[in-house]
Amino acid sequence: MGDWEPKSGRTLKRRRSSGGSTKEVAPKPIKAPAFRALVVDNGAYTIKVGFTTEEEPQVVPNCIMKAKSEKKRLFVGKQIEECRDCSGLYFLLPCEKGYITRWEVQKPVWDHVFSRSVCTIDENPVVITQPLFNFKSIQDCMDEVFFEEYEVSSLFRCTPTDLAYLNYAKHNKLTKSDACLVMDSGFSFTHIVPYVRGSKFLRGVRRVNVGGKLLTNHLKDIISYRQYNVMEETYVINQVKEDTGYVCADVKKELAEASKPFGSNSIVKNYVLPDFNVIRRGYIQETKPENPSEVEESYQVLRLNNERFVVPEILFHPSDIGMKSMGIAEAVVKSIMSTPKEHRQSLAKNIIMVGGNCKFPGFKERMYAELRSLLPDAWQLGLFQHADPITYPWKGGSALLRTHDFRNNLVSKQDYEELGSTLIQERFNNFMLDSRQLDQEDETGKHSTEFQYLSKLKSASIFGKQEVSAADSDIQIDSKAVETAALDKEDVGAEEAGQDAEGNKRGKSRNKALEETEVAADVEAESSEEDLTESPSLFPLGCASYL
Amino acid sequence: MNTEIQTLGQKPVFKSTSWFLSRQTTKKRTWKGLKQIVSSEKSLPWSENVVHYSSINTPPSFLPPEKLSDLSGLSAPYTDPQTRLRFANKEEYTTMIDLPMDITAGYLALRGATSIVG
Repeated sequence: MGDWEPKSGRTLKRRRSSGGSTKEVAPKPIKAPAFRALVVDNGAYTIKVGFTTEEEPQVVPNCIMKAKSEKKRLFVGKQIEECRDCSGLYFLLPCEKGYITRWEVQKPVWDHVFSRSVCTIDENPVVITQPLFNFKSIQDCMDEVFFEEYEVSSLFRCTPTDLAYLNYAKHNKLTKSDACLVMDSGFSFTHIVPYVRGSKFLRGVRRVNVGGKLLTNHLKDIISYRQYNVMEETYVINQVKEDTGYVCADVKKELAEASKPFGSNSIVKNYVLPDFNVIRRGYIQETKPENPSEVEESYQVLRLNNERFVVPEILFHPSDIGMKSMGIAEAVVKSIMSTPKEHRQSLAKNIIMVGGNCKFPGFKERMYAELRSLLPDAWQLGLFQHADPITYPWKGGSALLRTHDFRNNLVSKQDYEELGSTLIQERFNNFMLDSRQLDQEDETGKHSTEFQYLSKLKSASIFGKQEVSAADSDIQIDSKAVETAALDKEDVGAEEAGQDAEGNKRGKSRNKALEETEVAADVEAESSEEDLTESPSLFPLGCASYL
Repeated sequence: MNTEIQTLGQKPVFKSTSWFLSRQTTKKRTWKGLKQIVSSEKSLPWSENVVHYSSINTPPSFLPPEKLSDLSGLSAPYTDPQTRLRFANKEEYTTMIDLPMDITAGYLALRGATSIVG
């Protein structure tokens, strides 16, 4: 374990990110993966935990439960398996809309997860996931818990979409030039994250506030209004949702089918509710028995008709329940269209869908149909969904260990003590983000050139009419490329050219300087490199740590 | 003393392969709720280019919401002008007109149609 130093390896990383090589992960194997890490995909509903050397993670509920049958006892995580009567189960969840805010709940669950009953940390590095744009205060708290309470030797945090992307890229041998879009539809929300040139494209990230929790709650509500009062039975209704829910291809057709009478209706299903005596888990009653026995007659049956597809439909049309938000398919298109033009087709070709909501039957087909109708005809559309979309990101953990700069990004306890949480959080949050800076530079550069370009419009004769119109239209990136190319080639003595070239040079020289100093490079230096947003007066808490 | 600590720093002796109970804190800490965190984040002076939590929300959809009956969930072409409930057929209407106010309000809240304007 102690054979690697966190700082000595920085050379490799720097050269790679500044050199801008398009090659994926180093071709030569970086030492045998003799070291393993504990990967914790800390979802709001379940924690997926296990060592990278293992095939499958263990899935532990991320909550504390109280059962009506055993008033004295709290069930933490996996202990719920010991509970005989799960009726009226009361959940204490650590997350509020996906962000950990109830630490008094999260801590015991982690205690349980890292205890001998699930997975001990020992001396292994820990990789834990956090939602995108996690808040600074939450990250502080996580650092504190892991370094000071659990005293882990080293820690790394990234988003589950990073892991899913890495896993996908590894399996399909993608290079950095292939853009990828990850849609993570989980318990609290759905995130859509485009990956361009191997890193997140932040301005394309979208969040739809619809997740599995909202669907379960809505199902609970409508069943309570229409049949039984099940407001207390979140656990059971969640199973009902998982067992009977599906995503339909065409709502109108499906609704017409659902309005048919019971006999001729293919949608309506009777669901036998569990009584936690004979039946542990509810199931769909296939056919009504001819001569039901006395026991069978005493079963409580829930009749589900349109509820089966109307509830998952909220993912695609949140406006059905009055949410002012677009559906996930529309949001995917929105996200694709917000990226630079040259990457859009590639994004549409590589769409990865992860998260529990993808398990609804028909989800992928519906997604394909919606996207196909919203995206241009000539584009190829490729959706990928693993057989187990819940654990798919976790499985990317081993791919993460093999990325070239993982070891440099890993934060050891010493680093934490020396540097403090703000700096190490920057390291976490800037992971897979290096092109963000480039993009921002591009943008500021573009703004300045455009401005000068307009002011000199009368005198500058080298610009044709077409280019003016091109600059006006939305394909700014292209026009910018054209502009710079023209400027560089013709070498006009005008200020714009000078400035532009200077900008380029500055960028290059900065990169060179970085390469030279990188051996001695300190983490402080790394943090003080970039733009405005780093300035302490504007962002006393550091802006990147919010990202 | 100091040197001893440093040598210990290499491999902490307090670590055993089995789990140890982490130290118990007796003081009760209160944590900020998500709303507080979000609002305090919003108040920071973000520059225009920076992407953060509140700026990745999806905008409203262009597609109209599906009109579903409040009672049965079926496709509903009719709306009761008094209660603003939607219904699919006349049987539903007959049950609907007998419903007390609080139930109709509950139905409307269920599909998020409580605002007077909408």
